[in-house]
Amino acid sequence: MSWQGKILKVDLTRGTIVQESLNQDWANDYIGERGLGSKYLWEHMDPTVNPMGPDNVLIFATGPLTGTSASTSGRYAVLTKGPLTGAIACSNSGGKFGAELKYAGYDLLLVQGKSEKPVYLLIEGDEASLQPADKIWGSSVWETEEWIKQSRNNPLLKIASIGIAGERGVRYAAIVNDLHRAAGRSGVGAVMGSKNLKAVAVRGSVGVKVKDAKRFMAAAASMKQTLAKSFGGMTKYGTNEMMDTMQEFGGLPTRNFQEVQFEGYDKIDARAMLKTDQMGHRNLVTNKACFGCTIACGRIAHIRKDHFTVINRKEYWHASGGLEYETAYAFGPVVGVDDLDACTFAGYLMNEHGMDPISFGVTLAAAMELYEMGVITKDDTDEVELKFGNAEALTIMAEKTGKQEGFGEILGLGSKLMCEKYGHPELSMTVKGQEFAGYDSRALQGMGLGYATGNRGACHLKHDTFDVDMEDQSGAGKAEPCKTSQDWAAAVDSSGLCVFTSGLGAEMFAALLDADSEGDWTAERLMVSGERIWNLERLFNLAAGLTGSDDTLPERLLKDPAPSGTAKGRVNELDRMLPEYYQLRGWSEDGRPTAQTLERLGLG
Amino acid sequence: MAAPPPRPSSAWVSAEHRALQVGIKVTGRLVDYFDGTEVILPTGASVAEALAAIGITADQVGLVAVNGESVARAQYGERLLGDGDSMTVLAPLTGG
Repeated sequence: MSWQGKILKVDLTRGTIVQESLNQDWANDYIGERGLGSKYLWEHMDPTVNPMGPDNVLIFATGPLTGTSASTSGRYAVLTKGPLTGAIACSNSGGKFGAELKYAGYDLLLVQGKSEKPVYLLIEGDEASLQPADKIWGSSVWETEEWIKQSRNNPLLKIASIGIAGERGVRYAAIVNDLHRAAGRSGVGAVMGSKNLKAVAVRGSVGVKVKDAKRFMAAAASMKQTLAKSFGGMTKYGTNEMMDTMQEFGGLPTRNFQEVQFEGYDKIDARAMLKTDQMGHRNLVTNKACFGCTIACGRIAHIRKDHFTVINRKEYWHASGGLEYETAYAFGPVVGVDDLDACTFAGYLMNEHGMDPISFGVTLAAAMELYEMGVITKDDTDEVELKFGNAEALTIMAEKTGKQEGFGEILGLGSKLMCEKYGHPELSMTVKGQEFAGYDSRALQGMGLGYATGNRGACHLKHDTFDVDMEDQSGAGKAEPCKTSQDWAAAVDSSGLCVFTSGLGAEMFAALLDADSEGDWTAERLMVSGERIWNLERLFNLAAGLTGSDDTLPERLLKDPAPSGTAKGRVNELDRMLPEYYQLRGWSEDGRPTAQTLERLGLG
Repeated sequence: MAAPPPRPSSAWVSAEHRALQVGIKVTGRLVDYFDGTEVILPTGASVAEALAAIGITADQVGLVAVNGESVARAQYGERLLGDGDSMTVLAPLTGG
């Protein structure tokens, strides 16, 4: 019952909006959000199309638990063919937008075609319409939110929008909702921009109904108690509590993965954010929760007013989204910068202009290596000294990329295309064109396998091998936990809850879903659904032209040993792990699901 | 009479109670349990005993390394510490 039973199809070429019934058979097989969105994508587009062309499809999908009283239920996913990778893109976000879309009565929003002029989609109650967006084309995410709310005289609208980066095709442009939550990865914002769709603004009023309220409340209460016991550290420190752990472990990618430990880590870690300086300034203002979340890992920070980034720019003196682990890594170690305020400012710019901080930071790191090698010079970089550790270069380039000015246009290509352009593809720290998150896969072997086999390219959120990777730094025994956790993450990502709750286990999720929705949801059914979703994503990628040869890592991680840390001397053992992984998946030696596997999963 | 040297030090501990001085580095959320830099332990203390001394249980730990080398969880009770050893206690990784 927590599916609303309705979807909205928007054809931007024709300017039509049609309400349709949810395909319940698909929901039964693919749950919701990531899985259901992937199924709709598969059924509505040719995977070979140009991702930036009108034939690409853009989907916003909620899950059956989105908007319920279960903790972390604010999630939605954006599905499309990614311009950064040419693969399926599935980018997940929190905040409040997802729940609001559900409250408007829709499980899923499917956007096709391309509008002749810039528009935004407005959903207020039962009414959905395309509105002109000429006045906000060229505006930032923050300006867009404010303008739409003011022009509609409705401060309760929840808005997901793109900034200039999305309009101008930055290949890792994000869709930002609620000012600083984002469907950040794989360039979903660039697809939105290619369709001349500036924003989706929603205000709902129908709420959600669960199948068995009493049972649901009991399961949700139990879940909250467990989260409260186990997530206190993340509430206090945020995800950036991992910075000093990765440093000590020796898995903190530094200066474009040339090193695995960063000497300046303690100037930008969670404790640095909590420290009050002599002038009484503390970077962290408060923590923040997404819709219905009892973890509240989000950070709200502010920058010293006398810092070079904002000293003459009062518009940035307010508190806004602060550093999380991935942003701290992407503006810190991987580019060699240890200036907390500069990193915070770069984070503001990502939210303001709508970009993925991981891809930006890792692309900038490759550019810095190219600069230090002498491959590019100040003539290329608008006279900016693009050396590792230059905090000013970080913030200048973040702004140039967001606004697509000067060398920012090159950085907007992403690491892979940029490194190919300069004749050094080996410097691109990517899988399938998507940049790595903040975990070096020489120290975390299972993470490397997860990166290599990631359906959306390098990604740290679609599997969970952290425990086994810490326990043993070899590649032994990593294929099974990687495969199983990929399937489980696919199920969790399809539920409407945050992946941080995945550790609660399949039984708890099954209890929630079974009280929430029709059907007999069991842990086993959830795992099979997750495996089905993973394989469907794989089929999309194979149809798009990717092959098993794309399941690899850069040579730096396969051949250059980790120079320090607990994994000193190790390289990633992908050649040992990958054949075992394919076998466990029921795939051929070249990475294609066998007929038996497809038959077993109902994909034949 | 001259004052004894300040603690912590193993130098003035009697022979039958000879102690180990072990450097400790704790990461992530575990700093809420122990935010010091060293611990004094009896001779023959293991990693498990060091964890108990700083108020951290094994299930809260992601990894322990002694002098930069990781210690398997099953070995916490058997891996003995020496005077001057450096022990790193890493919080679990959560992603994010």
